[in-house]
Amino acid sequence: MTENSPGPQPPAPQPAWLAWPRRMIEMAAVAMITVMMLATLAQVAFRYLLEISVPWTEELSRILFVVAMFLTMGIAIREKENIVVDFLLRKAGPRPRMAIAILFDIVILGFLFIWARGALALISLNLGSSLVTLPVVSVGYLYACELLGVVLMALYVAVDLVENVRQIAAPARGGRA
Amino acid sequence: MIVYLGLVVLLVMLIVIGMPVGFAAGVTSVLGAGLFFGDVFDPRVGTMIARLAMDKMDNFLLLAIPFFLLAGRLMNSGGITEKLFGFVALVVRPLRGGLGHANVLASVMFAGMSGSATADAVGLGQIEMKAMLSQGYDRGFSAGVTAASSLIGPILPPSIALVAFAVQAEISVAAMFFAAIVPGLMMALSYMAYVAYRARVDGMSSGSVASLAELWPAFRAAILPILTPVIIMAGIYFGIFTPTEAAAVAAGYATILGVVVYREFGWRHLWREIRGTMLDSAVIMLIIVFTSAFGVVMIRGQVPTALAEFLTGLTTDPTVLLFLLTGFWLIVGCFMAQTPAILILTPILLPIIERYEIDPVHFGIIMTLTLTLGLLTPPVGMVLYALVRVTGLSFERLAAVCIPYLIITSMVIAILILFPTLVVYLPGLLR
Repeated sequence: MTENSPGPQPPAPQPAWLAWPRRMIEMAAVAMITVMMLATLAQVAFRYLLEISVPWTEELSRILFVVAMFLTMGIAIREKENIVVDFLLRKAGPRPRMAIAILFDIVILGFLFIWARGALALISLNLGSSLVTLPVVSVGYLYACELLGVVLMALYVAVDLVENVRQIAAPARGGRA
Repeated sequence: MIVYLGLVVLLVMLIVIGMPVGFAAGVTSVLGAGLFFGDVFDPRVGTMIARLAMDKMDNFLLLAIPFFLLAGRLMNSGGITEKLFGFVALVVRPLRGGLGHANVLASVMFAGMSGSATADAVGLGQIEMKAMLSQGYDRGFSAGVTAASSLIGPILPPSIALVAFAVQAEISVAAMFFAAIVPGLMMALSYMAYVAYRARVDGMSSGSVASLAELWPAFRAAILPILTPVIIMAGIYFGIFTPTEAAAVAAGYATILGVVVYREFGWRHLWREIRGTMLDSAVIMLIIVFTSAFGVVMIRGQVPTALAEFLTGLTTDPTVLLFLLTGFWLIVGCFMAQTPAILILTPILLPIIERYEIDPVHFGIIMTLTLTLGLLTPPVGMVLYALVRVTGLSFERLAAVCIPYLIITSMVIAILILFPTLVVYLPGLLR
């Protein structure tokens, strides 16, 4: 966390089918940031120690960063790491809080749908163009990673929505029984 | 125009009622884009958002954020902070209220490794509080100086908030880093002056001058972490590396110190810290992307122009404008965390300060410093929340003991507004 709300709410238990993709994404993202750091350090070392210009290191670092960030955004949602100003929310009772969370989830899902549609359109538009120093990488692939990241975010928001709906419904059912 | 102002109100409302800041900015950006394309579900709205997200993230400068975050996390691990505090405490032992001074100085050094106030408060704060309480210092006094000194973290370079501002304002990160040195040191000196005053009034004792036999091992233990800011700033100043490369060097250096030199943590811990860094960075990136998109929408709606015209009606003096904005930021800082506030406000306010011919570096430092005060003010003061457990004081009592430091920092801000040279002189040397 950065300087934000007093701390994330602990995430609810995760469905088992979501555990392995999360683990895979985490491993990929950690590997990417490590390579990104090594590439940036190599850039300095090549320039000053070996006096060789290695232009692809900057572009490689940038694309690894972009991909790692898009993939990790979903996990940040899952772990409720998002920066939230929650001083008012904390004053509300559990049910109003849950109702607001459900409303937010629905609005965010709508927003993610629009974002995903845009990313999808940009994949085909950019498949023909590639990166300058890494010509094997098409810009369309980057938009595909963006789309994957948005879909993951939507998936985790949807899971959160289902959990919230279940929780808000549970006491009502209990009351009727 | 009114509709776009309505979007600003909506953004504030969504944030205040608890929507994640990044998504609140995203949703309002989509609505704004819908306004000028005629329909929110127009396919161009989605492509605009997706393209803006990619363009904003595909920036080598932004890599500095995860690297500096990782360096700070690793430096906060294990005994590195203890080594730092142990050395500083020995140096200032002969001063009355020595541990109070040590508290501030340790934060200055820690600020050179980490860019976060909460990292300082939680990591270094625990060590500082424990040492001060065991030496009989008053709990309130100890908590106040621990909380206040943590504010130096996001000001002295490297600072995540300064990188965020530089990215949004599209100005040099190096210039921001050098501009923050004098303000950060002014904060530290003014806190130390207050500690000295309190030490005299409260009749605090002083210790003996540390012998060379005591100082040498402490210095040897602390020197490598202390060198971190020197490596970063000297590297940037002499053009050896860019700020992003400097951040990677800092992260690599912190890894080597922790794993190889001090053997404070192993690969498993390193994995955890990298994972945590990724999550923190992803959250910041989400906000950077969509606050930038919101800024584009606002510019399209001519909101900054209208705001500038309104402000010009109030004053044409840039100094008065900065004081007015400072008042506004003080209020914003009470309700919103520093980095998101910087990310949201910068694109809206930048066109205005251009009209007033205010140096963006000066403006950025004043804004960052003022919003930092929000870390110590209710209801969302993050450092206060972080320190409640560490200090053993109630939230209200903790907020109260911070008041003198808030006044002192406000005076520093006023001086910096009145004398811009204090901020812009050092970055001028880079040109």
